[in-house]
Amino acid sequence: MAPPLCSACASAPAAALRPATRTPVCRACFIAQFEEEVHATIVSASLFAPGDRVAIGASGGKDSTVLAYVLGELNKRHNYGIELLLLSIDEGIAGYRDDSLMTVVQNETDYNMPLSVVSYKQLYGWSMDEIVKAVGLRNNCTFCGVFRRQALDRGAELLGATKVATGHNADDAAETVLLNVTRGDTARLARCASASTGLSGDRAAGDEGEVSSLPRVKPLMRTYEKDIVLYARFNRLKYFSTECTYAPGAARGHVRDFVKNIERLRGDAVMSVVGSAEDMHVVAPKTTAPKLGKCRVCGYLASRPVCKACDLLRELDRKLPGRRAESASAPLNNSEAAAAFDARKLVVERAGNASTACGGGGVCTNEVCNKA
Amino acid sequence: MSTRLFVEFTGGLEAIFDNQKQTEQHVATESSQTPQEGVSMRTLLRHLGKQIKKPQDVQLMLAGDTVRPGVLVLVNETDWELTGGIDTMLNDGDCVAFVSTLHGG
Ligand SMILES: [Zn+2]
Ligand SMILES: [Zn+2]
Repeated sequence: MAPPLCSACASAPAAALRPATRTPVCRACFIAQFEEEVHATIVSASLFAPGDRVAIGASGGKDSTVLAYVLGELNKRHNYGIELLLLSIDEGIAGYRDDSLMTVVQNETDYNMPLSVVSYKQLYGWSMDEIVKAVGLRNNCTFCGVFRRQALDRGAELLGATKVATGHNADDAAETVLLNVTRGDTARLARCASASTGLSGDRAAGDEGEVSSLPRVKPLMRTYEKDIVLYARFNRLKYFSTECTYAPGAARGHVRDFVKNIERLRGDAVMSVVGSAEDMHVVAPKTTAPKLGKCRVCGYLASRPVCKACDLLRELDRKLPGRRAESASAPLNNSEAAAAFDARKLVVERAGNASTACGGGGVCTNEVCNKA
Repeated sequence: MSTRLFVEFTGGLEAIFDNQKQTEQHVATESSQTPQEGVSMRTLLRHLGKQIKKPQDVQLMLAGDTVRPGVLVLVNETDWELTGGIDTMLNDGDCVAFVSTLHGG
């Protein structure tokens, strides 16, 4: 059957059904609504101030690709007066991150935003491939999560950024809220639904309770995953969607299915879950408020004597003694990291490797490669 | 009689179809339908389900007689929720895209 007319302009046939409101809109109105909704989140939560230098955590995936593109558009249109930078974390997973970095390299050109890359290898002396060899496939996501969060912060600091922006969307937030409810974790419940952490001068604490040195903002926090994917498609944005080689993929499986199922039944349910957590004003038990100091080993911001990353590095050293002959594993301190921070060179190296990996025979699944 | 369709898999779904992104499908017309009516989306999904080689991969795209929640379907670049969903009728030369929203971030 033919699609109905657009509910906004009433002149073009509708191309998409908005998931939250179940209203049909044409392609042009969809794009306009999407952008103004993200703008409304940015304004209502005061996510940016003129002069901000914003490091966008860019993975090459759909969320961060759309985030970079839409922030670029809105910054021009609404004169935010902010500077946008792409910051990628290279976990060191051959065949996975190499390919997705190619996508980010493309974004740098397409969106005209400077790209920098920090790697686990640079910061911690270990790539994820090496970590998996040492610890196997159990707990490897723990390492990756702790390292990524800190690496994003450290990278952003090296860039002189004032804020870190990530691509978390409404579906992610609803999943996190429900996970925290099932765990009875009210302290995290209170902050996981917020579009920002650390903006009001308090140190940013993340969904998992880690501390960040810079405020974190999530401009897509109220945007549905369906809309993000449609926006990418309607604008022909290139993104990378291969699953991480090491992710079991089942960690959030049930909650993820549940969120998608309630969305089918009631479009606004996803935002309602997020809104419920926001409105609850949970009083976190006093004892859980982390006292912030410096990690004894690396000197980086930490809520414990030794930061989580250094804890994990010690565990790795115990598994593979002598692996780092030069010294016991510790993340580079900031001046060491700055010295090792030759981001552009790394990107170019990686891009070179990735493009020859498939031999250009057309069997490569990488969109950037296929296009070439 | 069969209907010729251009079917695209993306957002990670290509992985369960031998990494093919753009495919051409010839879908047999059901006996209850005349060739002019084409084939229904229901028939196309059944046709595609048979091409997924690993049984454990089927649930990455399909659930019951429809797609798994989180998989978007576009018929000639229009959301299938606006064209009749599983009862959408497809004709020779139509383009159908299956886009997973479940991968990456
Ligand atoms: Zn319109
Ligand atoms: Zn430390």
